[in-house]
Amino acid sequence: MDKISAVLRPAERAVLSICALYEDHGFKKYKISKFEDYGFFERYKNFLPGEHILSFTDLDGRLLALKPDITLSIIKHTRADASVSERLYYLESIYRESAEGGAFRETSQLGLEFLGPVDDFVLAETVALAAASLAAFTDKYWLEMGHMGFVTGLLDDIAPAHDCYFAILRCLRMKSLHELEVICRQGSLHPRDIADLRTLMSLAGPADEILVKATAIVRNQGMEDALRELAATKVASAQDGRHLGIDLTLINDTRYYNGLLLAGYLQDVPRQVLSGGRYDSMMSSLGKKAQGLGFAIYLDVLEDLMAPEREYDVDAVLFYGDDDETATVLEAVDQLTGRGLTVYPCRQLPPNLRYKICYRMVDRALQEVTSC
Amino acid sequence: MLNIALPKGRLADQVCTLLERGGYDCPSLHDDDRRLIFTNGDGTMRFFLVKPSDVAIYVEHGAADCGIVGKDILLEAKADVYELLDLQLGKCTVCVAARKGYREDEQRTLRVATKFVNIARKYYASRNREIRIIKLNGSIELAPLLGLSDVIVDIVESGTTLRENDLTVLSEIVPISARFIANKAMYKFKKPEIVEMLHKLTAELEDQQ
Repeated sequence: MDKISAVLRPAERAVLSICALYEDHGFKKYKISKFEDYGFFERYKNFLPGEHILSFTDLDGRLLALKPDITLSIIKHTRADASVSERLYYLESIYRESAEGGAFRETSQLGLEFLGPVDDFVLAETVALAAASLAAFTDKYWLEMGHMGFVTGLLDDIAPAHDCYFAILRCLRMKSLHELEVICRQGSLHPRDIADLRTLMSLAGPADEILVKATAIVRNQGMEDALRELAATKVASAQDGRHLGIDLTLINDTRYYNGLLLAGYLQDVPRQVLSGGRYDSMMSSLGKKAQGLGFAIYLDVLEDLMAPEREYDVDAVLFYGDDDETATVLEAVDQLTGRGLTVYPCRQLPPNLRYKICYRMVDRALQEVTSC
Repeated sequence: MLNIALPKGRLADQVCTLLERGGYDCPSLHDDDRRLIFTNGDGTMRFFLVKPSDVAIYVEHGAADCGIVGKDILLEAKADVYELLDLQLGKCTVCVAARKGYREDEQRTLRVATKFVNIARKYYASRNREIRIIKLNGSIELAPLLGLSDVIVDIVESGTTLRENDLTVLSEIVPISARFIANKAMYKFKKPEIVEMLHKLTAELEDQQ
């Protein structure tokens, strides 16, 4: 590992390699201002998690927002349409309410967006890139795919009352079969509908197996199309079936996503680290004629995957005093770094600094001392 | 190794008995022992005893892979976890209660004393009723007796405490019992162990019925 790579934490190295991967696939880095017109986010607030947007008044009196979402901005500015596509990725900060509430948080996201006509190749490529992104962090990862069209297709056919509809989505999200049974009873659903919802709850596992099992509850074209799209991504899962699967109970925001869904996890990281999917309906809400597909990796969650704790803060401490010439001390630092050591030159040892070796300047030369 | 967070206190004995019937060896939990971490005989499971309200936090943050927690805690904490099974233990109901003979004045904001702020807020929002929450941490029944609140939202098991304090249930909000929960990410990587536990607990509950 070269010196520059050694300075980076594993997660930071992984981020750079992911960016290189996206560039290889023709995705261009999208650099945007941290600020955007507040009115834009206020207008599309339905697509945002949380109630509040961090805003401020600029010096010219305009009300601006610190971006709570990058995809919305990308859609707003895209030139993609029904025939011409745009491939973009970003590494940006976003500003949202903390999960605990009561405060805003700045978090980092690395994301990839395809805007334009989404075909089977684009679906499979996006899944493969999501899997490769997770693999850049560790080989112990899991990427699962779901499809909003399959779930909403079934629910639209069952047509439960509004409250019951969202209660069923909540049960699926929690994998809570017992709650689902209660909701179905309260909603007076038909036994066939209850049986199909129970089956839906069990549809999680290897792609081949789930695609076959799922056909048993297909009721309409929307559900059929969903399975066809999921089958198109099998090319990606065929390359690495140990890490990819289908979970048809995977649900995301029904206002944001309408098709393929992605959820990625890394072993030893207790939260979802990758989330994404198809958002044609959001594109259409913003007046765009193109389709959209993408995912984001939550880099703040990956703090759990940072470098193993170092035994030492620096390799060497170098003491110098008033009698030592500046040029000599500089030369001594060069000498130590030339040996591949990290050096902390100082007159007095800072408290709590952990070091391996200690040097002093004696007669204009380095001398190792047993203790500082 | 599967890490399991269990609630101390009221539910602990019932949970431990259920686990033992399901074939899980956790004898130390019954003992008068001050240790908070126990490993089973073959070292495949580690049990943590934590405050009931903290179980969901341990599981959501991945310190435990799964756990057993009351539904009231889940509703209140809004924890992002899988809720895999209703264990039918510690059954009770979150209710609205008031002094006997209380008549609600719908012309003014209702004062509600509770430790279940989210449950109370959601319930009254669904009824389009304006309320002022008074957050208390214990002895909720005192609030209407001393005029601190009009009603309380609290757990009712047998109703004895309410009766002894001259209070009565006005409405039931949600039934409560212990739930088997799992961390969403850990579920992906320890699915065989978690699902095995789920199946054993399910079988045990079915046997009991």
